[in-house]
Amino acid sequence: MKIRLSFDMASRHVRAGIGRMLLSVVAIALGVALMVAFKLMNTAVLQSFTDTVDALAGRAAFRVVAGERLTFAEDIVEQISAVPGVSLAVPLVSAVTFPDDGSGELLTVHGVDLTHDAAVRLYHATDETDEVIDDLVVFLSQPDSIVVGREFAETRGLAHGDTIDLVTPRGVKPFTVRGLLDAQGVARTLGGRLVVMDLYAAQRAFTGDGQVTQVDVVVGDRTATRQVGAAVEAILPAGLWVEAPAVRKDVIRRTVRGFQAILTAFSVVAVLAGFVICYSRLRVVLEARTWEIGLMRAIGLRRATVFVELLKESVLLGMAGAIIGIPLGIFTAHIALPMLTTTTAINFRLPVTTAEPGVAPGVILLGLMAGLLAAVAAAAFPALRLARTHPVSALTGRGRETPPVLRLGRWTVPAALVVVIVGLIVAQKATGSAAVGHVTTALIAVAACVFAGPMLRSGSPALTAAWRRLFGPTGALAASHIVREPRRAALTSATLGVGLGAVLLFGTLGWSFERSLISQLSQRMHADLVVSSPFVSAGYVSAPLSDELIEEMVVIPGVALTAGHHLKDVPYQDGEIAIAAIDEAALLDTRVNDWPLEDGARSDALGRVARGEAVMVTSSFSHQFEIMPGQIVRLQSPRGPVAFEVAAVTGGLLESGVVMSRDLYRDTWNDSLVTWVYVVLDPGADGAAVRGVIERELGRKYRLRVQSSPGLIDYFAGEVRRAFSALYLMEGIILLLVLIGIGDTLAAGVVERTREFGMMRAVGAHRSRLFGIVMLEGAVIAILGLFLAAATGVALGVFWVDVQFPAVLGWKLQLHFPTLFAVGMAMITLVLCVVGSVIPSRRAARLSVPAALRYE
Amino acid sequence: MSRPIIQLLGVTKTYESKATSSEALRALNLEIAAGEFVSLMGPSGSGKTTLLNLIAGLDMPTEGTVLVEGSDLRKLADGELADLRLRTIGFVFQTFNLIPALTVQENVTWPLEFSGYSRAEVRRRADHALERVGVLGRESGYPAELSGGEQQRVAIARAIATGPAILLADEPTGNLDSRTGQSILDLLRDLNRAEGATVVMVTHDAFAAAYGHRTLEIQDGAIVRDVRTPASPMIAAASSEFRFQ
Repeated sequence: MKIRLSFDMASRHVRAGIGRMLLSVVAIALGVALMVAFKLMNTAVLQSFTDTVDALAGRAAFRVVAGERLTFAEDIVEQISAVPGVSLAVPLVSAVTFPDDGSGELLTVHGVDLTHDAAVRLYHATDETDEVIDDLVVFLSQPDSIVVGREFAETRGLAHGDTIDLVTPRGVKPFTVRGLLDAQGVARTLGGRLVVMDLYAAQRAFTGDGQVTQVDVVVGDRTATRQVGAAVEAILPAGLWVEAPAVRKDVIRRTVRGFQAILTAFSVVAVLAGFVICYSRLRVVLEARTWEIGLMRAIGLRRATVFVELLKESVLLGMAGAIIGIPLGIFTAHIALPMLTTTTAINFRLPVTTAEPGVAPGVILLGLMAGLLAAVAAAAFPALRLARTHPVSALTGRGRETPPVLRLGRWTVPAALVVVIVGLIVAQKATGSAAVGHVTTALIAVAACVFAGPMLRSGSPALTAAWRRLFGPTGALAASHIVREPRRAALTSATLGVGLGAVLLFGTLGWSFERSLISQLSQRMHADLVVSSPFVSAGYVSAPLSDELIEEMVVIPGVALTAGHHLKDVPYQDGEIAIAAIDEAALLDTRVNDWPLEDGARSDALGRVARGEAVMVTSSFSHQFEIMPGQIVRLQSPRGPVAFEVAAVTGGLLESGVVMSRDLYRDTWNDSLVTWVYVVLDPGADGAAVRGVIERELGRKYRLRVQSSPGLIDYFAGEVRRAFSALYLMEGIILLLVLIGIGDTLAAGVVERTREFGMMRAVGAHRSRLFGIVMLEGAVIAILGLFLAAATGVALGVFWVDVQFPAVLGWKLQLHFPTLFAVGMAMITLVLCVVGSVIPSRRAARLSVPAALRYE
Repeated sequence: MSRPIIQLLGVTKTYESKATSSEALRALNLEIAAGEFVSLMGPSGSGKTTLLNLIAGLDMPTEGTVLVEGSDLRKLADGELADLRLRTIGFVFQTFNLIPALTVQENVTWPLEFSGYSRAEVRRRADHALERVGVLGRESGYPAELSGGEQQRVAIARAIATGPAILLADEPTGNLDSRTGQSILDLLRDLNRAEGATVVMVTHDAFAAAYGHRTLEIQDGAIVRDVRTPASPMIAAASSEFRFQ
């Protein structure tokens, strides 16, 4: 008999048993939804960052830079323009500013020569300058003239001629709107949060006369971009280099790749959970039809035909899961995307962008395939076993119990897996390869699944004894069922273990991050006050301020000393690192900072760093790049390649970076801005009063946030919590899957034992006994799941904090276990397990005994 | 005739479904005396199992009264009915219904533990019951390791371990070969004679029915024949030949 393509019989079975399969469909749908949502969000977030790069580049083939928003003399433009193949070289000032309305909305400033039509069209292809600006002469004659995105203007009711105060590093300045940009080009990508001003005005407001942050280059023949780029590179002075948008996008991709891989892995775990729940249920449903399979075989159907017929049902279930899951995933992506964008931006110190989740056919196909694969894989094993059952034994086996199967060598696979994992950890430590770490992570999760069965089987005597002692015969009977069906209970526990383990991993990372940060900053920072911009330019880093603030603040009565600290990302090897540029007082005076130095520091290390004779590297940097005191660190700067001797390794900063004197940084990187200004008060000075004076007198000019050191540390801790806020989405999904998994496993067990429960009631067992039996079974699964979750979470947490996190993100953390979080999760899980167990328990207790006794 | 231990007075049982209604028992009156061995015969769907379920309090009559040891089952709460089954009624099923995950001993002890006996008493009663049915020595084995006849003996041990006054057996030999079936019937008869347990046994088999003192034939929900069974020399001979040792 040929294999039929029709789904008639399969759809009849699915319709008849839809009630029993509903939870499996929901579980698959949740897995698919999470996979689709993370895929869409990851794509959208990355797209938004790379789109910004593209939009900012306009039609330019590449740009000449000295580093991200680092300045250099615009004179170079003429030399670049003269390079054969270059059709246009446009000097540009790129900066950020904020409306002075407390919204904290980041505006990107484009300072471009507005008299140069071709230059303007480079970024705003369809906007003719004279269509955007009413009177170019007036615009150029007034240095406060700006053009803003129409979208931004409309949200604030701004029109031509209106004034808006913008916060720049040099303080708050009034600007006049003399043009509106439609949502095209850069303006569209930035959601209208764009300010265009004339190059000269932008230089006055942000960089200084004659200074630009980049030169965008248009090439006549795009196919010759590489050659023209090389020719331009050849004439550039040391410190400037050619950067194609693709290179910048690659840096961004590499930067966020690790984080996105974690999210993808988590969605795979959710699909796996859906698979386990579906497998558990399909096994019961299909085995209940053993006699029917025998009948099909008896009337002449081949094994393959029977197998395919059974798989068709799973295809329908997978389809149903995907059909529910895909729109749910798209919906989730729309809801959670802003959160993930912020999380990514904070994690990688990127400006927050506006991301829009698109719905690509590939993602829909991915969701469909994930749903189908999970369901078909779940059905494959039980279907194969049934198809292989001899027709006679299938027919005569109706209503009979199957004998337990004795398993040998149950610890062989887990032991082998442990050996492989240990080997991989050693390999990862030796190579620092993030990919090896990801494989290790996956294997640790697999190990949790593999350990569940043997643990349950080996622990069954102890479990039975304990349950009997604690709960009497009800407990003993509950344990007996778990022991009889260890595979299903183990699978559910494993799902719980891996899912909650992943949540615990994230919790451990978040908590270790937060505690490491607090511990390091508390140890280092002793300044009475820390002054910064209230606005965030990238991730958790405040917008930079003019260093004139340092001098203006030191004269305030009660202030003993002030010192600046600037944080700047610079390229290093394939990625980026931070430069912490710090004033002498903030390096040497322990009233400001007390820098912890690791063993091996050179003598007078801090003094040498303060004098600009050497630099320090952070522990994360030292660990990531294996740079030790006495070695040389080489960096790219606007003055060309520079090399510094490393005098010490410090744990005073969490970032992977280099600590140097701010004077040295300012001279080398041409950047005098500061991110934070430390203030030490005179002995006996009233901190609150000084703070008030700073806010009143300087806050009016610069818009400042004045905090105590603990206040700033609290702010950072809050940012870390925000960076890990994706945890809550994962936690919610996992807990929902826990609820479904426990409920479905127990419900399947109740269905399977309907006759057994009927017999027990007939023999005299009270309803409450049956209720108790099922509830206690749920408790066993929950406890084993929590145990596995703790083991998996701790193993993954230790591995990620010690090994993988530094390799992927470059942060070296101290391990802090989130005890309260873990206990809270465990309590919530137990409550959910109880809730999940109630319905099957009630079903068991309320069975009609005569009907149950007839049940086969 | 000694006091009635089971009384059914005007019992009617109707099963309702959306489209149809069927009467499983019709105004049935029946008295079974303590110590009697009653065989219930009749074709499939005649109401035999329904009658057994009503006596066990697993189901309630649509009309009429079921009295067990003088208690009106309708007036008992669900928990009291469970207690009645646990202590007064023993149930033996055609398909044995042993719990496969439990050992032979555990299959017998769990109803005793639910009855609240001390651990020593549970052990003593279980051993006694297993000895009584002739499977002592196999108590650490699992049901799947036993033959059908042995499994049914364990099921009977479970039913008698609590010392019930009534044994309800629903086709106890239906899944067994004739020789094994006969040994089970011998065992039920011995329990009836030696322990004084009232046995109500549903069977399709006239030979098995002949083990009872009394045979009730049910058709379409009514007792159509109620006859005293004469002692059968064939049964006596067969039972002596195949008696389980």
